[in-house]
Amino acid sequence: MRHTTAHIAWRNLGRNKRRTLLALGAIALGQLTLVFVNCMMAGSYGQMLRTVTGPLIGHVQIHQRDWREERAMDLTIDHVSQVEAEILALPDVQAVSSRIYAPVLAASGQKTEEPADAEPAVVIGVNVAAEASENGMLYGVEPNELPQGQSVLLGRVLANRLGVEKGRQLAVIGQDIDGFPATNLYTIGGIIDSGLDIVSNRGIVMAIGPARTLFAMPDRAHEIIVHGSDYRQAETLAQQIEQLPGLADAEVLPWRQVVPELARMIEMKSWIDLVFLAIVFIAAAAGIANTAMMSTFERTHEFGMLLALGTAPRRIVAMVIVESVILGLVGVALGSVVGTTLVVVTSHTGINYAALAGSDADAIAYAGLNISYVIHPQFEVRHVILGVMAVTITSVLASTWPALLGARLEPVEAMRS
Amino acid sequence: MESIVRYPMVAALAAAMALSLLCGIPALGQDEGGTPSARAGETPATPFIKDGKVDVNAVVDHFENLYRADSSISTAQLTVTKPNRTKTMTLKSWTHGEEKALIVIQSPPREEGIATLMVEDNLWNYFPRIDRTIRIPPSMMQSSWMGTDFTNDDLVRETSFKEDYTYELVERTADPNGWLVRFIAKPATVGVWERFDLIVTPDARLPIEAKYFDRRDRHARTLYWDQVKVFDGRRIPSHMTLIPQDEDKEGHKTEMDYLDIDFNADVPERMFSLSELEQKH
Repeated sequence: MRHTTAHIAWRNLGRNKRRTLLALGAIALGQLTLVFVNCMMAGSYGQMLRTVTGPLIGHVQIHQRDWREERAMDLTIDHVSQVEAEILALPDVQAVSSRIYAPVLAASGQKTEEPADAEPAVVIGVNVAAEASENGMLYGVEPNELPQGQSVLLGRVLANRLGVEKGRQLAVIGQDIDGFPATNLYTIGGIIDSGLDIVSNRGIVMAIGPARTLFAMPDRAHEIIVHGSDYRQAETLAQQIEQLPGLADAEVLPWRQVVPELARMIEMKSWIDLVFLAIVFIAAAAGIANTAMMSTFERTHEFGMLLALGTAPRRIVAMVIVESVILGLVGVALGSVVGTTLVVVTSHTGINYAALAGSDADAIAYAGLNISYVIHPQFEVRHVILGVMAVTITSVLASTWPALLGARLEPVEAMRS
Repeated sequence: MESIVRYPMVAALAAAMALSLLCGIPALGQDEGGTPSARAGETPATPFIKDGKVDVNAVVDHFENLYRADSSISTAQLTVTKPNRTKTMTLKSWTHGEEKALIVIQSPPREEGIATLMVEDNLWNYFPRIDRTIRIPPSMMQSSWMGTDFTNDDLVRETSFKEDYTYELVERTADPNGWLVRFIAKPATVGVWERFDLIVTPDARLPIEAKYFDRRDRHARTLYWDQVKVFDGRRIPSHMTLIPQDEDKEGHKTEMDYLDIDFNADVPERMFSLSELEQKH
């Protein structure tokens, strides 16, 4: 019997092809929008998250309490090697790396007649091995260009301003941790383009060992970056790190607190997801309710006949509802297929929305991070499933009332109409 | 990553004093060290005391002229104390007029040969280790000079007691024994100090201490002068101490001890050039 009901329902959908196609189109378009937009946003936010929790901020940051405000040389975390070992011993910690940030003046190392034009710069002393890994500041740098000893990497913008290139000498003039003069000559091992403003604009990236020698700060660092296994667990990780005895005086921040605006934007995404889900709901509800209603009214005579012949009212209800569910499922399937195809294609080609808006910029700078304008949508099956569920539920709900109307008809009156 | 440099508490007037002392200019008391030190409460007879009170105009004139000097060559020991570290440097300085000075660090080895040239408002540092001369950019003027509690700005800023400040005699002080003269910056004066309280010796010839207040009227630094010695026939304090009052500068101190000052030495003007700067090490 069920099979017959489904068959009849399917045939009924073909009776008014234009109306069915319109309803299908509305549902399919809703689902397509849901899948594509949400997957595009997933891609965009994923990228943002990778930039944010990747090299610059990490999952958890540790500083001396006042460092973020004052950035003074002497606000350091001491006994760093011991602290690092303690953090690495925590469960779920994947990488720990320490950094030194020292403001200096930089000048070309070539001797000139006139005094050098010095540019303000920042020596960033880093743990080269850690920073060269996937989440690090130096990811992607040629292995032979990585900072080592007196060889340093120079940010692209700074290099241009100083008029120096790879292989040349660089003079660094700064102050050690006590303010006494600290000067030295370095070889430019490479020029670095980075998503981090501070690196590109002012960075002199140096191995942390020579940086500590130059600035007289053995076993001290300004910043420790910790990567756990999952950025979503950053808060838990931060709490564990806070308990460590060597960090009683330190400020331990999960990335969400380092860039609260970005974190809020990313949290807002789940609300935006809901908005699109609601659009699908409404499109499906309107399309299905309309179709079911119209076809029920059109078939008053027919339903009357069926009832008069002894068809159970339950079966009429089932027929109308199945009709709607089929309509909804076909629509949502169409939308899912087209949407998924679009996502898969664009995830390979990328969507440059700056170009769409007529701009030739390729990244947006935010909080010292360069976030690419090119989005690679990321397929997430949950958006398809959510859409299918939404449509199924709506089609049942939206067709119940017309179905009940049909089932409650008085056969004689209905046949007369 | 803006303003990575934490600017130390700035200094304008201490500047002039620091520089003058650094360069051995002060000619406080030209009377060849003959003045007996006054006992507390006693008012000695000097050209600066009128009717038992300091003639503040005469004193300020006198102080103003301290900084009008010819040339000099001096050697000083600079001791910089930080909470966990003390560094002593020996400096040799040459001056010519008010606006030209050359300072070369002679020891310790790590700083040996580092030299600073001042010509008017410009400041250059020469670093032998990298064999480069760097002009100090305006953005670095409030940074420490060679790790001391003086700023680069202190070295080059010219301040005139008479033109930049209004002043008044406040009172006779007991501890330390002397006269308190208060200087208040005129509204048009550009600088970091709102006012400073200078205490001079009872004979008003030598400074004892000065408290500097910044534009928010916070006590920011104190300078002390003591250990009066005779250099080249002039009686001047040979030891000066600068203590920053900043909370985060606790345990910081810069002291200067004059070892030798040769007033009116023959210092040719050509010494104060960039090429000389690089050869002086």
